[in-house]
Amino acid sequence: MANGLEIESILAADCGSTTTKVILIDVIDGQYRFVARGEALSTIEPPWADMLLGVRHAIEQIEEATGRLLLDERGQLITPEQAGGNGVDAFVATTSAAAPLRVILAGLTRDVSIESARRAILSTYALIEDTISLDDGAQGERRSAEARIRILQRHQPDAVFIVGGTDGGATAPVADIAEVVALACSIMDGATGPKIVFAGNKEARPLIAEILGSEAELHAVNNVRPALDVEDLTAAQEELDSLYQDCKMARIPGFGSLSSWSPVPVLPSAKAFGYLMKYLARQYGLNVVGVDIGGATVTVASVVDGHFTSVSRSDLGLSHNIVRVSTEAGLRNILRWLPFDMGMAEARDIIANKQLRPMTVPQTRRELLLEQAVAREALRLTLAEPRQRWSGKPSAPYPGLSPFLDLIVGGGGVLAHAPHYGQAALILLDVLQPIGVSSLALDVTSMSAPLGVTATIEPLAAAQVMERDGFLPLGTVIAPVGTAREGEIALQLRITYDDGRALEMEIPYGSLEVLPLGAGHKATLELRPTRRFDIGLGTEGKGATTELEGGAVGVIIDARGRPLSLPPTRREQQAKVQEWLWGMGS
Amino acid sequence: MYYPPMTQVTPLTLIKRERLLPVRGEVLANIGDRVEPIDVVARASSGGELHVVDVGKILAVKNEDLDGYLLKEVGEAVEEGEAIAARGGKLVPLRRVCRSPVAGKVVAIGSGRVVLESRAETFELHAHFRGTVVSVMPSLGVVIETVGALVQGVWGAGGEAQGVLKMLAENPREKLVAEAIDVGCHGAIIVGGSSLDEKVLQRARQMQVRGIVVGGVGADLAERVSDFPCPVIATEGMGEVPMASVIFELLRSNAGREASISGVTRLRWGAVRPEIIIPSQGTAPSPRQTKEALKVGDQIRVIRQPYLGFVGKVVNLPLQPIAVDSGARLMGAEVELEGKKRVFIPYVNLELIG
Repeated sequence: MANGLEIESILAADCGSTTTKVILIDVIDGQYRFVARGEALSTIEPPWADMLLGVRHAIEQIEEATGRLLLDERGQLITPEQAGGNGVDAFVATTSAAAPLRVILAGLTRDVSIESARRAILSTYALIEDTISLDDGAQGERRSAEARIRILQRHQPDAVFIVGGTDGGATAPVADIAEVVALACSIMDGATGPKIVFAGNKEARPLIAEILGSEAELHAVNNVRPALDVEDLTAAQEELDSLYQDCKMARIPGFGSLSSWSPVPVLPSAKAFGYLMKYLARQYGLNVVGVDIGGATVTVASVVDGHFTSVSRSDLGLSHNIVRVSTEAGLRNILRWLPFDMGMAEARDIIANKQLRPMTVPQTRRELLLEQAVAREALRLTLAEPRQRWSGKPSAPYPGLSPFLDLIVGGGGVLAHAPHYGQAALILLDVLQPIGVSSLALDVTSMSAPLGVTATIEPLAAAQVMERDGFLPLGTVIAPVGTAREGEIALQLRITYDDGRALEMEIPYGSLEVLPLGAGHKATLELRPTRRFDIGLGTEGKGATTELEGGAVGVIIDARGRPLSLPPTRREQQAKVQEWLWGMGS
Repeated sequence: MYYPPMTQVTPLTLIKRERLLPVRGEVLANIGDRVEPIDVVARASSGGELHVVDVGKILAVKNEDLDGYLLKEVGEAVEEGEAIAARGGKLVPLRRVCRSPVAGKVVAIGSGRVVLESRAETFELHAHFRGTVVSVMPSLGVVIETVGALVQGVWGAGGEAQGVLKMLAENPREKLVAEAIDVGCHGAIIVGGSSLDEKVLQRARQMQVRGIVVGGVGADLAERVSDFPCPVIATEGMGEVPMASVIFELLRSNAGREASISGVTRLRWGAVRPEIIIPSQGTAPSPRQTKEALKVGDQIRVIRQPYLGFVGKVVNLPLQPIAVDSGARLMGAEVELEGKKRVFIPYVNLELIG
């Protein structure tokens, strides 16, 4: 093949719960480039019940856009690429469309190993249905064996995740838990009964195997808490990922046909998304946070001070799980982000209708801003977990606030398809509330997960497409940390554009300002915070000069304060939110 | 090209439905049987409640020694108060006896415990609609086929019911009101226009209606509707939404006929939509396939505000995205709604109907 490359052209698909996206990558002038994309409704559910149909529909759009034939008359992928330019050399895919893995968590006490197990479970598409522990009763007492067996029978989980004990410690307590699990499994249908993942005291493995006997399939992995002060989630996370792929992804209608197109395994989208964030962090030495607000799942993948964290909330989303967001967040918390009056009943109807018709998009500004408000709350709920994990890192000097982030990437339909880029930027700022200086980028072509899986087959393709055609830069945000009375000066700045023009400004505390700096333009920004504000250097009042690149929004000076707080009354909230929207040009 | 989803609203079509037991059981119907809605086509024992007896502790024996003291095995039936284990064995005078707290059967033994399942009730699976059994899945259920009208809803609650269709609204925009529900509605499936309220539910309960069909149900009311003792179907969605005219007219043309309605709704992972089946006589074509791309002339229904529930015809498929009120530029179709109003609807906000 030309350029000595084994694989020149690649179709990479991401099959979501609501939509299926496909991108075409090809070599142009010796470099891998993004060529075209297609997006179609996912076709997991009846009457289609075949995920491959949605992929074909999206590929047809690419065919229309490029004039390149990619599917033969039977709808099969033309591969490898033909001499005339039709077909592609490879196809790869990710999906987030499967049902989450339903897990019962079993262990000793809630605060140590069970907490570690919970973190491991949140790294994949999984839901914790219930927890069995020595203190699992309503008042912290132990539930009866009968109650525990009923829990297991009622939920019929895909997996029971047993943890407990440090390596070399006592085995009896965790054996007690395993005995109840074994008894419950013996009642369930052997073929559909739960898999058992044991990630507790490794000395207890033979005993656990003996107790479970032939009642259930046992997967023993490294202890999530080998010692009280040591947490090791890697093996447990890999096992849960593997179970998700075997028990859930493989059961999506049409998954077998889709898999047969790809020379590498189809990956969970969140995993591929995490790969890309890790790549960005490693390649450029950055603190990175990527958020993907999907229809059924919200994922936050981050690398802070070299530590990777991925959290997926498989029960929150903007379509299939939108009602859950409003229930968990509370409707009042959603409505506070609206610049106009909306009654509870109207909001509930709009939200419920979105769940009933998950593929639909808001056609009015009223419904659009409501969905964006729900997105803020979905992200806020998901961020609770990563915030805990960022705590104490060198880059997080302010307790309760975000760490210093170099790059924030937003993805998912609600952000990628926001009519104004300022709206997408504002959602990210309102919830992530970055401090210091951060770049904002938007995954407008939904290529994060596809590029993540592309890297498993041709890393150079993923890297070059990322570099040249990756995310849309929204701009740079400068968010000073500190407090003052509203209107007091928090920051003085001087921006010098690449054409020599300069602008000096004083930024009052409580304000949100946008300075124009378009994509492809550069500027020098001199920042002089007042003595009570830190612009990310760890010292209040210390100034800096930095080179900036422009973006679709520009340079955002977010002096609204950290943590961001909204006024108490609806009227004041509406006025403030409207002011911020106007500030962002929306 | 856009491949839209489809809602079935058809006066005459071939309808096939799987009727499945919740757990494995016994299928009573045979292929070719003509069945009526109330006929039982299969039955199964629904699982009873679990009871765990800590036999080892009661008899004061070690778990590993328990086998020698058990009087019952897994699968054996027990009566309430019957001995399930005893210290001293089966033939010698008993010193300590462990008795079953319930009538049922032994389902598991292990770790010194015996798990009992109380006697289960029999679940009967009804045919639900008049038709012919065309397939039998041993232990699981049957497939029943009929010819008739079919209307799929969007949201529903409650189980299944059958009754005579009774129109209680003059037009699709009219709300269903409690005053319209009289003794004549007893045993009927009542059809309103745009929505219902709590009084309607109370009155319908008093009059023992068998089911309710309306355009929309307020999300605030959804929980109460879910507690209603018979099926309720919203054909358009949540809120006060006029019923799509094609659905209203189809139901009106079938007023007075026996219908079977199901409020069962599952949105994902094997989605199930609520539906109204009105069996009739004769032959009919299979339902229209939904794998076709949208084209000019197709009849569509709008599935999002501001035109939620409106029916129209596709008159143009613009090649470029068009701006909508939200500010987004979206691909979509120009549609002529009833009343000749011509509007642009994003593709994802419409569905085929027919």
